[in-house]
Amino acid sequence: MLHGIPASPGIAIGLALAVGDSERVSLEPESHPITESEVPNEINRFTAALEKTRRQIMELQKRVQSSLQASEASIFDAHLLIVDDKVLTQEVISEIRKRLQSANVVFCEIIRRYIAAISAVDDQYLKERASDVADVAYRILENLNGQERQLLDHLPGQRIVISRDLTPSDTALLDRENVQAFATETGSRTSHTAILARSMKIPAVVGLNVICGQVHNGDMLIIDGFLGAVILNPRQETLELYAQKEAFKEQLYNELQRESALLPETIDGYRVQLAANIDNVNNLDDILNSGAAGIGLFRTEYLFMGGKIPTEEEQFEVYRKIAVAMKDQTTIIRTLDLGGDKLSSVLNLSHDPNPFLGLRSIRLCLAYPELLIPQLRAVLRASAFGNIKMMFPMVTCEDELDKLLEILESVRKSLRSEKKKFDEEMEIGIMIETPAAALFAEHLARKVDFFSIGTNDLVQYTMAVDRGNEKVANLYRPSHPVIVMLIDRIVRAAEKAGIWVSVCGEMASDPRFIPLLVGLGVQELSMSTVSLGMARRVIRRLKMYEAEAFAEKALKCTEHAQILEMSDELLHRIAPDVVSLAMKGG
Amino acid sequence: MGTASTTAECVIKNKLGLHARPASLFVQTAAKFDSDITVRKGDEVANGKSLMSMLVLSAACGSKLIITARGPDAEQAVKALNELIDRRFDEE
Repeated sequence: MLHGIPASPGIAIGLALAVGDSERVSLEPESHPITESEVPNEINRFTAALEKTRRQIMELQKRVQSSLQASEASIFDAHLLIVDDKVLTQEVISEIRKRLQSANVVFCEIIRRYIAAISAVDDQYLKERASDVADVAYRILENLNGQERQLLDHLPGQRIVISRDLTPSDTALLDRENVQAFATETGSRTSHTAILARSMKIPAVVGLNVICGQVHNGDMLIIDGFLGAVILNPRQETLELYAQKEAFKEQLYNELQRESALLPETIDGYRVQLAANIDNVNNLDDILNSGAAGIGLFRTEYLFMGGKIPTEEEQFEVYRKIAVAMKDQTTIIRTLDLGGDKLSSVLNLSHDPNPFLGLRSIRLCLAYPELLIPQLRAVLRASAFGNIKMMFPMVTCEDELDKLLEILESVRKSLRSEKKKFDEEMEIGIMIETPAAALFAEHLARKVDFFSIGTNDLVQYTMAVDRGNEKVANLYRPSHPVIVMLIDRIVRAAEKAGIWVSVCGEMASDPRFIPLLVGLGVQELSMSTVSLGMARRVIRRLKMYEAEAFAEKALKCTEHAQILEMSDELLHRIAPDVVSLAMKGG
Repeated sequence: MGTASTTAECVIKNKLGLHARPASLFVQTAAKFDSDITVRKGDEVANGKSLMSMLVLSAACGSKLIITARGPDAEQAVKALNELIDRRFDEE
């Protein structure tokens, strides 16, 4: 059994499809002498392989572009120039003639020299370009060998995908019909790949120490996305055990589904609002059937990912559609929360050396009113059609908020003079996701109608940990006493100002942390619809006074492990069936 | 082909240096001209029309480059490349 990080819940039993490194051709082929008369044929093979590679890259570029990631597509321009590089091509051709070795041998020797030279460069960033050269080299060599590269968007049937690494764009392109689960060596629970897996509802285990060398195509595998385990060629008993577990899971999910009409109230009658996080308007039915009280977080980023800024009308249509579909239920629309890097081509922005601390999110919107104002107008206009609220992400300083409210007021004014209808009372909130905002919450609370705590970023910025970097991911600790203190501080500040608090980060969907959050006084938990059933059950097994006592005790703890242990213990006691499915680690 | 040759000295100003995108732009621009183009950094010389060769040259921010073009449109080529570097490859 291999142990990794449980990234996305679920169990899959099936056949492995090993992709990436384990399948890669060697760049050190054995010597393969050729005769003088074979030279023209070798040169033809080489140029044909280049041509095929060029077509493949162009195809790839087109596909990635249409699936919303313009910035990721631009890297393929460089890949094309490598294929088209006359110096490289001439060098290979003349060496084939001179040395009488096969195109494979000559090409590999030359390309290895280039990779070594680029890797030896004394600049971290420039040096990384060697991986682009290697990427193209693998393609050319595969084409020389007549090998087909496995495309993850079209699997040969139901498969479990095994890879050293899957980038978010790899994951986004995965064949959703046929991928049962995936397991990778890199990544952490909060990497974007893992988040994507959860939203696609595919079980996943990441951060496995070694897997590629050990798993071969067609091997029978069990992926346990609850425990973060991968079982290779399981014995019959294990298969049966997992089949049972899967059946139990099915049963529990069905049970939870049937409970979706029950109110998320504690035993002693305290109501917690459960809401859904969504990132497009495709699955509104899912939400209406999930028993959620509304949408606690509507991420609008996808509207901005096509390489252009959506117009006010385009946005208005989307927001109005949600407002109408959700009827009297609330929808909280979050204004654009993107890093500048994602819009660099549209806005002609330079690369931020440190994007997480750079021009992103609300800072970007304040710097580029052409991003902010059409969105504010569209949201306000949609508010005339339903129960819409709006929030600003990543506010750090009070003057940012003042500026935002000032712009909002002037937008209201122009809508009034244009006789465009909107909800004058529409609630405005901010996300609290930096330590600065959390510590200053008392001042910010006076100016808004609600807070929404984005725990992913709050933990990341407080612990100074990149949650996607597996080398430090163990320091990403939502149960750290400091995080509990910050959440407590935010809730107290909100109480004092008479506003309400929601949590829309991953902590809200982790059943272990629900008693703590409820006990601290958080009124709304917003999560992806798949987690709502578990959350509802935990709340319904909880007593408010117990949760409050628990939170008080947690506030006195000095170690994150202690808080985690207490949380596990409480969950075991009140909802053991949920524990058996809930994720460990983190 | 004529033998006119033009040379210009310039300094890379964009922060990340000639990484994939700027190097690609440089090579694409160079390819528009008939002249042969070489780029010298210290003792190293690269073919200005070859991305691989430019990546090996690895011009970081602050690197001094000497661009030489030989051919019928040498002057225009050097001018265009020099401007590209001066504009920081439209990155900043």
